[in-house]
Amino acid sequence: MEESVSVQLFKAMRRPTLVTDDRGVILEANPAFLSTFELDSAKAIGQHLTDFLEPLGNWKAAGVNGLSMTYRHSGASSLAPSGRLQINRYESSGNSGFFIFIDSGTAFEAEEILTALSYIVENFPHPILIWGKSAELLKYNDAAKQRFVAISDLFHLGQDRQVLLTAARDRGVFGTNNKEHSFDQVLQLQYVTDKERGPLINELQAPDGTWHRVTAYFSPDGWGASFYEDISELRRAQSELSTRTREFELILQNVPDFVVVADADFRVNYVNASYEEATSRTRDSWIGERCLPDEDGDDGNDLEEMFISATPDSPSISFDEWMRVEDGGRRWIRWRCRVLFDGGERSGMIKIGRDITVEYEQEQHLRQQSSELAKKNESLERFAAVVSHDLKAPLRHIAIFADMVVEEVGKEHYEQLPQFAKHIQNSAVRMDGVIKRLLEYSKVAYKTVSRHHVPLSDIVVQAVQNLESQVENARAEILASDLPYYFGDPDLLRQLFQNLIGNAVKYCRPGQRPRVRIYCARESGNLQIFVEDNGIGIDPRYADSIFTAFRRLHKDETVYDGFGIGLALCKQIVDSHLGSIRLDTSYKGGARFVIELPLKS
Amino acid sequence: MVVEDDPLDFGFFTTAFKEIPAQTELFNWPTVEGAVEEILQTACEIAVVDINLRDGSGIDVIREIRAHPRLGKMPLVALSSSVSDIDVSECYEAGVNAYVEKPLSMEKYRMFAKAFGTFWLESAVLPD
Repeated sequence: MEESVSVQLFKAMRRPTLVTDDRGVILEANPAFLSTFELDSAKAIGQHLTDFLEPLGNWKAAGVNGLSMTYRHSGASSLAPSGRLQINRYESSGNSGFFIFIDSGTAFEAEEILTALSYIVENFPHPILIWGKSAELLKYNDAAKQRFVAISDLFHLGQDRQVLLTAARDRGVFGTNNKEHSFDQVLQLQYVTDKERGPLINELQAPDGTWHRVTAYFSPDGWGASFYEDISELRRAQSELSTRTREFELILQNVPDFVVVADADFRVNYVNASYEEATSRTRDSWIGERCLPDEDGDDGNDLEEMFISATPDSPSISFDEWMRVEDGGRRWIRWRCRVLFDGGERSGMIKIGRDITVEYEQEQHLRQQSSELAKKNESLERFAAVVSHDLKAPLRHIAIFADMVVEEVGKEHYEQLPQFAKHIQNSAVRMDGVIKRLLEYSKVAYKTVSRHHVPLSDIVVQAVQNLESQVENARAEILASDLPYYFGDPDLLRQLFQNLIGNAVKYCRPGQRPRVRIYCARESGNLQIFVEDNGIGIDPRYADSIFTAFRRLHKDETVYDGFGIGLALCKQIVDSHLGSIRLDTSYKGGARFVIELPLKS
Repeated sequence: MVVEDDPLDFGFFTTAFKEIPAQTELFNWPTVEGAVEEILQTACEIAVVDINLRDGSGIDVIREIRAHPRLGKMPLVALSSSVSDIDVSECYEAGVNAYVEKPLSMEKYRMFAKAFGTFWLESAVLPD
């Protein structure tokens, strides 16, 4: 028997469908129903509707136009436990009953989701356009309608995407100042459905100056959605930020201070131009380098440890450091550093360094000057005491012997007068000698040191030339070996050697030819100069006092004539070069003086 | 005991002290070295010490005397031709009983000797 079209339709329907009588007894069940409930038709027909599922409502009240209600069931594993069914009443050739269309749960959920999505789209504050697979406008929301108001005549469901967007461009919904793509390209791109590439994102400016980010995404079938977002604020903030960043960068690049920024492991990720310049290295070459000081600080603290153990409460560390520069010089840098923390964790470090070489050197220079001044003051004080004593002693003698002369003459005793007069004479001569030596001393003591690079060997030769007659008379032998250049005052240094060589020649052992050796060595930043003779030597007890021995200017002249002033002058000269002089008491073959002169500066 | 290295000055001293009524015996020693031994040797009661000696400072002699178990309480007078503040205060710190500038005339030497005699030899009570 040929099936009627309606029966064929019934069988072909994908929704599970039943035909019942008025009471709900099943008259027919379509294959979709049977397969969903895993039955064959014999088992279904004659059963009651409620044997398979339970409509939640008065299902018999269904009118011709149908009634939709929820059902529950437990019979079919492939079916969600609840769903909706639609009941239509029929009447045909005296029979009446119900068509019952069952929605599978999944279908119902999809419908629910669509309803929800639809609601969301409609109420979303930003414009959304949904495209069908033939690039037709499928759905839009109020926000979209407002945004596209300029083309409201074309803006309706079913409209072709290209028509719509081209009109939007032509009528100025958005400008054409997209930097990355021309508008046509944007359109073109939006037709390309490439899952791999992800969403298409473009930023467009509207004629009112506002900026909009368009995010479009298409399914492989060509379904799609475009989402418009007003990003004017964001762009303003970004542009503000990038302006500030540029300004900041410009400042950093132009400050004379060094700026080094490092990460949590103290590895450099930024240095400014001043630092690049000072270190003659490019920024790129610095990136990634660990930038902690590897030497201890002035106060002996382990600087690296200080950085590592910095806490958010004490994040700042300061230290001074020598830095080598390209021309081989050294610059003294004062660093101020701050370790950065983010939520208690170390997140980086900023180091700011200033070249304080000039200040440092000035400070050193001042310190040096004040130490020189202190030394000069000290020797001036000693000088004054010596003047007071050494001039007063003969003066006193003159006064007293003059007194005695007066007394003796008063008593008419004349026999002692020549003796008293002789004493007065001697005292005057002694005073004269003292004054001469003081003058000689003050010439050296108050001379301003004027330094030059001078060859010490030449200085020694000049000193020996000045002592020519003494050296020749004593047939002295002077040996000077390997003397370097020194940065000092040539006049004073010559005087120094002249005094030392002069003493050595003068205090020779009787009957022995004087031999003077001058040689030098370098030791820990100092130049050591040795002046050694084979003479009578100096008692070690006087090792210190010989250099301050003014008070013997006039005494013991029979033994140490002129000795005191010479060595005091030597000390004065060495002091003014910030060095030292001493008698090497361990040397027994004569006298050996050791002069130490600083090599730096 | 007069620790003095200038024979002329010691001569003035002797001359002046001869003229005072008190009986004195003067001894002279010219250097820092051996001064204390000489005082012990001669059993002097009072020491007058020149500050400028050929082998060092009289202040060292004063310190040595003050540190000595037997001479520690001995009356000491420092004598100097220079009156510098530093010397004066150093001497008193070292324990001298008086600091005197060397007289500039014979008359003043006599005055010094007379005053010295009146005070130290007649008025003052000396330790055993």
